[in-house]
Amino acid sequence: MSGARPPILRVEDVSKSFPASRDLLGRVTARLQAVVGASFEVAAGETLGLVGESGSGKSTLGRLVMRLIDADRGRIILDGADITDADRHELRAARRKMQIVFQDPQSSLDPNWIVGDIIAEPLRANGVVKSERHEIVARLLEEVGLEPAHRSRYAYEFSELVVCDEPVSALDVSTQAQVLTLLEQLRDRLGLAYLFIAHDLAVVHHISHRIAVMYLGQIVEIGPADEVYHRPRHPYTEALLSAIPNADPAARRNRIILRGEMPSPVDPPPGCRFQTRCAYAMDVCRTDEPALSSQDGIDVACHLHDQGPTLSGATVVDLAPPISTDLDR
Amino acid sequence: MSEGRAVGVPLLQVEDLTVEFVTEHGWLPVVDGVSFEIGRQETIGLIGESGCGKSVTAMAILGLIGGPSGRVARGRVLLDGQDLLVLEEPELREVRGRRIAMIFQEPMTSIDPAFTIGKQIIEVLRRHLPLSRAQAKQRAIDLLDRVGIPDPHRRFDDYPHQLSGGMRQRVLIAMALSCEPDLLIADEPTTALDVTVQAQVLELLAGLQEELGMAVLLVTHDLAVVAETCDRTIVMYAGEVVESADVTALFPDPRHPYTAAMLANLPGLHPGEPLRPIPGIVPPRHALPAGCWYSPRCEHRTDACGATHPQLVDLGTRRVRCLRADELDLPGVGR
Repeated sequence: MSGARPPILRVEDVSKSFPASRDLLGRVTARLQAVVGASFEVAAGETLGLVGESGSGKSTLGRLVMRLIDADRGRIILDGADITDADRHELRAARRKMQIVFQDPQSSLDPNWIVGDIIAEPLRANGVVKSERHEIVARLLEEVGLEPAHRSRYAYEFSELVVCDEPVSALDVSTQAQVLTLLEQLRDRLGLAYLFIAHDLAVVHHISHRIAVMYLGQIVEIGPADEVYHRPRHPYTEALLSAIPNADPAARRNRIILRGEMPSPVDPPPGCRFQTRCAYAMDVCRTDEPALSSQDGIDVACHLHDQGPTLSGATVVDLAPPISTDLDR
Repeated sequence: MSEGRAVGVPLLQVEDLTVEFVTEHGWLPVVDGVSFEIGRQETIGLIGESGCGKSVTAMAILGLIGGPSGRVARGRVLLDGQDLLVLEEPELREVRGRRIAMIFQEPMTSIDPAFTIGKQIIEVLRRHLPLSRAQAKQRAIDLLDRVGIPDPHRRFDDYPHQLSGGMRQRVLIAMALSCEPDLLIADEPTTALDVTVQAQVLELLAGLQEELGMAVLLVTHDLAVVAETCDRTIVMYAGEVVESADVTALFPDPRHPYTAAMLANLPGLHPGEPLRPIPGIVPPRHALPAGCWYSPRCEHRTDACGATHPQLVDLGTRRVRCLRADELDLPGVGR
């Protein structure tokens, strides 16, 4: 993916917090840390999947990229141009290069909406005449088995990066397959890049080239989709993957079930944010925050890779049984 | 445990169930001649796309179809041999909650936000069981503890909005299971939850099912959840059963093209390979195609499929509604 072209999107050390409570005078007394120090790149034509549970900050990160909300810290660079502090006029120009597709159960029932958001716009920007656009759109829809409808309603704008926020989570399996296939065809034919935000790891694995895993506002692991999926380096990634139900009844297996709930982002635990639920947590994890470090193109933030068992970039799956099991309570 | 249980009779028998709704085209069946059985302690997965009639089937079993726009036109729903469809509302209410309980996708729609969770569980308990207020409170706290609510004494006085989605679903399960029903109907119980919370809730349900010896009818569009949790699967299409079999037989070896197509739609099973979406949508009832209702979307259709509506054929270990069931070799999962 890393060719000569600069990445279509570069996110550098972005953080965002929201006021969580105020005193009688309206002064903020606690802040919810939604995104903490997130950095990643998306190459042209590439799909980066962003996964994590509710409250992990993945949707906030999508909105920060779109500049729908402003970052407290860090830079957002779209196609080489820093849009972090872009004014309204500059943003309007930037938004011609990116689109966002939200989860919306109402409109999601009619997959034609995606067309309005994505297909027709790049065609127009590339000088394709109206009648030909209609023909291309109709053919694409037909190929994935959708009835071409509402053709006249398409808004025409240009996009190179599409932020997809849970675009298929409200759909049943056959409609989901239609929409995913459509998104893939659009990407491959039009060279679109996707920041694909979803909690369904099977869907994300299917469509993504690379996957970033978020927990409590932080990216804890990021790397090529197959590597992250089959050889997770972070215990949270391992647990998240283990929770995915498997459609092969012969493959029923023991899974890692995370105990308890995600701590509050208003008051995250000290040290590693995952330590309160991690089966492998060591003393250092309770005091020192692990930094994201890179090995063989995979970034992981976990002390296991430089302390204790010292995985040095190997997958956590091969690690001996957990050090303590008192998390079961 | 119920009194008067007939020996050798399945827990639930659904026979020729047909449910109609008023549409702009008149009364039309949404569930059309559906028959199946649920054994004691058995877990059944009822699957199909939106609009296939799976949720309506569940509502009909619970006696929740009625009013000016819906009616059960035909059929019987036998619980231990007794037809629920002929019961009056007071008797039905006794069956619901006591013998058959239900949980739905969105806990917030089933829990009253104005009352504490403790008060709501006590209400359910005292409606069905002769308990004093103090006994009911103790039982409610035990239930909360049993479904994995930490610190149940304190949580007892919480309002629903103070709980996370996963915790609310646990409260709902506690309410549903408070009278130890024989059958739990769960309609998309984990669809709105994160995958990690889903795993917790499914584990909880499986444990409670074993402990209480109850049967479960799981209504879902998530085939992977069915593969993981169910004994048997019933596949519905356009209001009819098109295939049913044990999970271990159905997933590796589907015989109906619709079942096989839904499996081919699952992301993550064959990474790197394109999905193969089923073209089009489930046909509306007023515009059903001739012959097999799935045939316009079926990649294996022949001329005969457009002419003859296939019967649900009982093959002993499975039932399938396809003219070509014997000759097709359809791909499944894990082989």
